[in-house]
Amino acid sequence: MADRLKVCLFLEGTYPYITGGVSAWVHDLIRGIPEVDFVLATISPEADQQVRYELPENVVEHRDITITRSSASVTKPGDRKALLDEIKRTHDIMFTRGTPRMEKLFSLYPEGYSLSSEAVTSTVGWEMLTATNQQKNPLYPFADYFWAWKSAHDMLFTVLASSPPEADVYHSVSTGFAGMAALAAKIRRNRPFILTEHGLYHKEREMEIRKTRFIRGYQRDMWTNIYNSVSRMCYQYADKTISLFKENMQLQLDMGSPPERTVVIPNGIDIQRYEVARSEREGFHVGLVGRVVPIKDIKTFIATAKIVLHSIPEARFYCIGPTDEDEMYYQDCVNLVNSLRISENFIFTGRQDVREYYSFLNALILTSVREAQPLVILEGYVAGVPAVATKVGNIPELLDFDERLLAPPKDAEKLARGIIFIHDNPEEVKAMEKRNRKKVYKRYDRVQLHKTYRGIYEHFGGDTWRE
Amino acid sequence: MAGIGFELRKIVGKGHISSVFQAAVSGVMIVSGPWLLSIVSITVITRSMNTFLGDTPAAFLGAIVYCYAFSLIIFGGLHYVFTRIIADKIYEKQENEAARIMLLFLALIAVASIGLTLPFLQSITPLVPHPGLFRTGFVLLFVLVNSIWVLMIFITLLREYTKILVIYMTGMGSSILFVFLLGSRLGLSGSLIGFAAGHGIIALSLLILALKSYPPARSYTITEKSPVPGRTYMLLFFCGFFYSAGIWIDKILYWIHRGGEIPGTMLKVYEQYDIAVYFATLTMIPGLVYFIIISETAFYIHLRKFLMSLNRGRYAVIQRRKYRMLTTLSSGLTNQTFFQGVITLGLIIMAPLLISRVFQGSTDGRTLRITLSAVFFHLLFITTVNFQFYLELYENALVSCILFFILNTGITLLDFLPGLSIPPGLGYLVSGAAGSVLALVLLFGTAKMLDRRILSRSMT
Repeated sequence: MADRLKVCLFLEGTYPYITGGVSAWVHDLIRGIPEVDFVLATISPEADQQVRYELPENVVEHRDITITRSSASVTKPGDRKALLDEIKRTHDIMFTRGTPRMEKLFSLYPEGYSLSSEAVTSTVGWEMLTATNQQKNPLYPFADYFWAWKSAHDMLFTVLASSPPEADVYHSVSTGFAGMAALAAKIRRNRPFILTEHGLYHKEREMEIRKTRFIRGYQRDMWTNIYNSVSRMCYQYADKTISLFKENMQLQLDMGSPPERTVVIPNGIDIQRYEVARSEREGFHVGLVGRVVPIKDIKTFIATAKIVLHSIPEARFYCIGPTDEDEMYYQDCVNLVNSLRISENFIFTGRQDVREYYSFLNALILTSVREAQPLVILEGYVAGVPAVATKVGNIPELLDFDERLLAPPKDAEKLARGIIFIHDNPEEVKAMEKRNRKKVYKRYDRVQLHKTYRGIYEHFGGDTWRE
Repeated sequence: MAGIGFELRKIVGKGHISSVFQAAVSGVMIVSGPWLLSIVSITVITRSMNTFLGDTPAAFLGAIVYCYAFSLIIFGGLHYVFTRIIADKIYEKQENEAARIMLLFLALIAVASIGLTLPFLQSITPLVPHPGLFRTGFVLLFVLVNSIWVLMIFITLLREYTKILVIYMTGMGSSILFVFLLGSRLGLSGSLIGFAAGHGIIALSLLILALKSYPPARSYTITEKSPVPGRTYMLLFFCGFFYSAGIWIDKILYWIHRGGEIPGTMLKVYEQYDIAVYFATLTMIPGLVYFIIISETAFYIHLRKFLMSLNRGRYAVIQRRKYRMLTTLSSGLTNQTFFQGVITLGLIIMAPLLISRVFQGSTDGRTLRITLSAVFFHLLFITTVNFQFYLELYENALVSCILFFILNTGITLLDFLPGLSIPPGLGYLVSGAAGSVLALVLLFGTAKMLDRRILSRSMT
């Protein structure tokens, strides 16, 4: 009996520990291709996290890499000086926004060798650190720079030193540390590296960095440069780079991803599952399907609800999703609902079967500050629910760039106008629903998505992938 | 000792000749007061009460010298560890806990001291009058000397310098009195017990002072794991051991090879070298005073600035302060060495006069000159090692102390070879010189990378 194809998925900040769109996508992918064995290699900030999914039977192994903890070396390099010199060379190239050749580095860098101390304390490492500090950030406290540098490099070195599981194909679902781990696996095991990006990792990190207070000034630039460099390397080394929509693909190409290896494969949903029969209810019902977390900007949803209620007093609003991921934020949202005195019209449902709500919702709203290609909009389209959403990620394309239904992030008033438009123009909205449903059937079918990935795995899992 | 150095600097800073004189005298008393008082009392006893010491006066002096020598060799390492533990506790404002630890050390050392004297006790024969009393006196003295070292470390860290002087004056005065009272009745053995009793007064007074200042904690509470790794204590221990052993090894070897037996005991003394050593060691005092008032304090100021810049400063500022610190260190050691050198050179020139007028032929010019030179390097060595401790360069300090010990031992052992005669003190001189050179090279070589070293260590 022929060995089954084995695909190693590199995952960071997602499946199987975090619920959400990407995790759902991964879970569906694994279940949708049962003839392939999957190995999960998760990059985690801490050990022993709670697994939130029941892993399908074709997940044959799960290996965790804790990047915030440097492990002791179990091997030694043959030529330590050559390795450190090569690291310096690689670093210098990355520093000038070039893309270094990693093959030589990995030829000198054994698996299981921890560089976290030497990278900073060796003569080469110290010279690198002080030279960069003098060049880039001479006016800031050196100790801060030292720790920021060390922190960033520690995580990278932990990933680079890790032993990749044996697999026929290495598939990373982001750049970042997962992408670097997949890149390392490609070189060490001489097997192909597939990269799928939902959002753009380096863009998302840059947005987070700019919002945090404890990372300031030069440290922002340092971390941003690191993430950009890592993404560039992943694009260069991936044998296939996949994004969900054209805008993101263009950004990948702009970062150096070779055009011949860069494609768009949109998301897919289980169409049959969401073909729910409508059961209209009195009143006007608006739902947001998503976790109660800051990235979904539930507070803007609440403010939108308040504005809509001035025009449509009978409207009801449903926040459909788990509330336990960020308890403090959830409490803030509840307080906001109470202080705006809309608690009779605004309901937090918790985790629910969304199909029940799709059957009677009149409009779907998405107020996220960041999205890639949200599945909920596609689900709503199949169920016949129009959407109003913020202009992030691929949402404008999904909403056909219709400005009446789109709003900038945090613009509650514009979002409210979109909801009111849907309420006031039922005929036009009906026509939209037909077009939207057709669009999903044609381009966003999960069956087609899994067939495409199966083909990719079979192609790269064989021996002819280099041709 | 940087604390008292700053106080003395303030006095010097007044600018008058009298204030300089005052600071110098205070410095001398702080650095060497107890030591000088001990020598004065021993000199008074051996010169004016030598009739009490009977036919074997050397047994009295020999017992005292052996007590001091072996107390340093055997427990020198523990003293370094104890100093570090107590300094850390005082810094953390856990003085009561420090006092409790002191009591623990005293108990351990007392028990160990008694056990270690057993071989000696068995060697005492009836040739020593009242051998039982002599044994008692020796054990008592050994236990008390060891206890006093521990108590002195504690009290010195509390900076009670004046009180220490007063206690020593009282104790040594009491020694003389007790020697007179007991020696007149019981001869040599009574004298030794009387001398030990004076040490008892010192030990008791220091203990009362310590416990009054900081009553010991009632129970041992483990608040958190010691931030100092065990490896540091081990390094300190061996530094102390090899340093103390390095000072005394040549003396012990000369006692064995060339020394005259003290009848009735296993003790041997080699007066020609012993006398030169006791005198030469006193000549270190001016250099030590210079060290605590000038070299150490100047260095400490810049060390502190450097460490503060490491926390929040820019890289350029860190480098500037580091090099300023090193420059201060270098100039401090240079000036100190020059200062001591002038004194040593003067004494070397005056050696013939000293031999005839002070030592009355009990030692010779060559031995005295070599020993004076050896002490010159000994001062440079110990102050350099002290700076290594400041920078926590314990491995460097240990390597330096091991070299010091090995060279002194090796060169002195050559004297045992037939046909070969190594002048007394030569091993001490060469080991001091070589140890100093190595310590300086390691100190400045490593200190250049001090910022990297400190940041790297903070990762663990």
